[in-house]
Amino acid sequence: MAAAGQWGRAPLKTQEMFEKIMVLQRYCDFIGWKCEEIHINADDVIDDAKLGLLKIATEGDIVPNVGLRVSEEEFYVMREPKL
Amino acid sequence: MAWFKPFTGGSPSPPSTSPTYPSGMMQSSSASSSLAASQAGSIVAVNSLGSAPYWAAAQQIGVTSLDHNSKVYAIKSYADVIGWAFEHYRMPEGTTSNDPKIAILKISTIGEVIKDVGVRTSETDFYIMRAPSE
Repeated sequence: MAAAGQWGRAPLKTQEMFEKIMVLQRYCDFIGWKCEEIHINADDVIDDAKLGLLKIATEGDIVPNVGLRVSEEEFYVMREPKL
Repeated sequence: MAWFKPFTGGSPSPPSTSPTYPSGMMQSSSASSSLAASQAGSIVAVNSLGSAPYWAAAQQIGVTSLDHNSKVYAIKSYADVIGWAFEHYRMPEGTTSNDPKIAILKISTIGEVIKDVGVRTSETDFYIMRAPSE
């Protein structure tokens, strides 16, 4: 949840991307989900379904109930609260 | 661009049954796949909702608290960025609807945001997000 407040931290690119992160985080807050910031390396093996979906998404696209791909290596994943 | 159309003076008008929507918050708005540049300005407007003109305008379209306004704005913004439509529906008291999302919101607590559905801000005001397939 900290990421949106870290505008200017590498490599947070554009105002538009920043706004999308804010939108995602606010929506997650209101529906009671978590918005998890994930950084991966190019050669990391991904065994997370949502992260896998985002890995093939276009940068800047929000996938409903999945999250946002910010760049090649940075992602915001929407997580349902664990019961 | 203001999120809520500010009043230009005088006493607030009584609630309208045909609310006036500012640009950026159209009834059954066409979906946008990305945040429009104009919406950056509307974030500022919402943040300044403590100012009377914005707040009075918000009340006219069924938003009864600043907290509700934040929720409506969050849903609208999220709908925009995922390419969904967003609508406000005012259901006259004593009537029913066959719309499943309205039915879900009708039994929800006022102010409770329902994932992929929307939020109800009063007995009669429903803000609904619609998938392109709906």
